[in-house]
Amino acid sequence: MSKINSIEISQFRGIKQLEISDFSRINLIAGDNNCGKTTFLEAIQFLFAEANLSSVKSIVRQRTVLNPNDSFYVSFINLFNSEQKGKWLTFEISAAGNDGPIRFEITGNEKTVSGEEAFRISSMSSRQKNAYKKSSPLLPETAKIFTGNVISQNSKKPKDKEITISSIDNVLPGITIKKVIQYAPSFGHLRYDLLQNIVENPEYKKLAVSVLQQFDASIVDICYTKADDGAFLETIITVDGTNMPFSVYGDGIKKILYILNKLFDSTDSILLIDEIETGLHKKYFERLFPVVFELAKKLNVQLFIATHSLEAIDAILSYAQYDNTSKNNDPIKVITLKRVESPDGKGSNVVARNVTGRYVYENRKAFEFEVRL
Amino acid sequence: MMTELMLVEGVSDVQLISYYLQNVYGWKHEKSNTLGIVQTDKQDHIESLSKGGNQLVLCGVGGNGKFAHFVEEHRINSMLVERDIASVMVVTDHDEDSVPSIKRSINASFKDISFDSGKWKNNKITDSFGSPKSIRTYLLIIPADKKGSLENVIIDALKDIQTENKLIGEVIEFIESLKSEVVPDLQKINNANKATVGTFFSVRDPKHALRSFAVFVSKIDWSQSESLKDLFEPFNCLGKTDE
Repeated sequence: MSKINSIEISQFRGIKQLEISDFSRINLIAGDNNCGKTTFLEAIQFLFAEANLSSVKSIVRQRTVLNPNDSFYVSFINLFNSEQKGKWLTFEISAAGNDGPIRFEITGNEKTVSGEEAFRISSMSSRQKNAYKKSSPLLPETAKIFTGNVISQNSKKPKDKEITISSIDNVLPGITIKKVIQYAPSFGHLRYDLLQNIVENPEYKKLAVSVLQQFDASIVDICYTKADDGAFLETIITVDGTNMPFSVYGDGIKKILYILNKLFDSTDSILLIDEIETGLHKKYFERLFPVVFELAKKLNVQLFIATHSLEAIDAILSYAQYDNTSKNNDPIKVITLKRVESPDGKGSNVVARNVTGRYVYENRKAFEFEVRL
Repeated sequence: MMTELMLVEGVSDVQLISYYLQNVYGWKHEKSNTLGIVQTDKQDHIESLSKGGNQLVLCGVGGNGKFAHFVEEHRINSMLVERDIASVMVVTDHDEDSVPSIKRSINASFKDISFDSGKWKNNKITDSFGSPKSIRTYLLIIPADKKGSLENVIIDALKDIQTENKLIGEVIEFIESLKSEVVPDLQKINNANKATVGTFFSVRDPKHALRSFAVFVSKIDWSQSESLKDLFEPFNCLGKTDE
C-alpha cells in the first residue's frame, strides 16, 4: 500500500527547499501558473521510481510528450535546481509513507568532454551507436556528461546505482516499468488507452457506464470493437445499437474515462491528476468529482489533484458537505504553492500553504478567499 | 494598492465617519470592496471608500458588544492572515466602560493582532505561507476624553459649529426640561443624548424628520467642528503607507 503523509523536496527543478506535512485522502494542489504544481506531482512520482535511468526517463518524458525529439539530457539536467553553484548537482525527495520512509536522490557531477569521449562512454548499445554514426557522421567537438548515483528507498533497503549519461545520448536503453503510482497528465485523455482497466472488470465497466450515462443518457456500453482494417477501436455503444468510436466524442467523455481508468489502476496506491478541469465543462464537476472521490475511497486511493480552476476547487470542496458535517475527519487538504523571490532578489523558491478543506470552504463563503494565490 | 479595514459599532457610526472621510479627507464612495465582505446580518452595514488607489472597507458590526460576533462571522482573523490588509481600526463608544476594559474586550476578539487605545500599533504576523507581514492597528474610543457615546461626539461637534451652536443649545435645554416629570427616562445620560441628537435633526431639517440618520448627517458641515477634527485626526493616517 503506497500512501504518503508528508514530503520534503530539496533542489528539485524550481524548488530549492519545500516541506509539506499532514496529507489527507484528497489533496488539492492549487496555485498560479509556474508555481510548481506539476513539479510537485513529478516529485511524488520520483519517490516511487526505481534506481535507474529508465525509470527517470519515464517520468521526465511526461513533460516532453508533445516534443519527443527534445534532448533527454537537457530534460535530465533540468531536474536539478538551476541555482546550484558549481558542477556538482543534486536533488533529493523524501517522504514519510505508510510503510516507512521513502527517498529518491540523484547526485553527480557534470563536465564537458570531447565528443569522442562522450560517444565512448555513452550508454547507447552497439546497434544504437552504429545508427548514430550513420545519422551523424561527425561527432560534436565537445559534449556534456553527467556521472553520478541514483538512490532509491521505498520501504526497503536503499538501492544505489551509478549512472552516466551524455548529451549525445538521444536514445536510452531500458524496459518500460509499470509504475507503482499513477499520473494523469492534463492532456492524457487525448491518447487512446482509456478502457484497458475498465472492460476487463465487469464491476468497473458497469460503474463507468453508469457515470457516462450521467453525461450522455444514450450510452449503454463501452468496449473494444474490430475495425475493417483489423485494428481495435475503443467504442461506445448507444441505446439504438450504434457503435461510435471514441474519436467522435468530445474531450469530456474521454477525460471521464481516462480518470476512471487511472483510478482503477491506482488501487491501494496514489493517483496524481494534473489540471483535473482540462476538457471538462464546469457543469459536470459536481457530477464527476463525487464519483471519483467515492471510488477512490472504495479502492483505497490517495489523490493529489492539481487545478487552476476556482470552479473545480469549489466543486471538490462541496463533496465534503461542510455545512452538514462535524469538524472532525476532514477528507480534503488544500495545498497552495507560491513562487517567492529570495530576500536578496537573486533566485526564487516555492513555498506552500497547507490548510484543511473546511478552512478554505468557510473562508470562501465569508470573504471570497482566493485560495489559488 | 493598499486595503484597510475599519470596524465601527453601528450604521450611524458608519454614516458619520463615511461622510467625514469623504468631505474632510477626500475619500470617495466605492461600489464593491476588495475584501469581499458582504452583509450577512440585517444589522451589518458595509461601505467601501477609495482614495488614490487605496481602499478602506468600513463595517458597522451591528452595535456595541457585537465586535466579537462580527469578527467570528466574517472570519476576520483568517482574512488578516490570508489577505493583504495594511491596517485595522476599531472605533467604539466609550459608554460607561473603562479604557482598559474596552481594550481587553476588543483584543479578545482578534487572534494575531492587538490594539492600543489612542495610538497606532505595528503588529508583525506570519501569513499561511510562512512569510512575515505587518498590520497596523488603532483603537479609537469615542469620546476620547470622557464617558459617553457617538451622540456625545455629535453634540460636542454641533456646539463647535457656529451656525448650529444656538439650536443645539436650545435643544439641550428642552430635553433637560423634560427629564424631571414628562419623560423621566431621559435622566439616563445615553437616552438624553440620543433624544438631543434626534430632536436637533428633526427641528433643524423638519422635511426629513422621519428620514435616516444619513440624511441628517449630510446636512451639516462637520468639517467646521474642531472637536471632531481632533477626535478623527487618526483618520489622517489612513491610505498612507508611512506610519
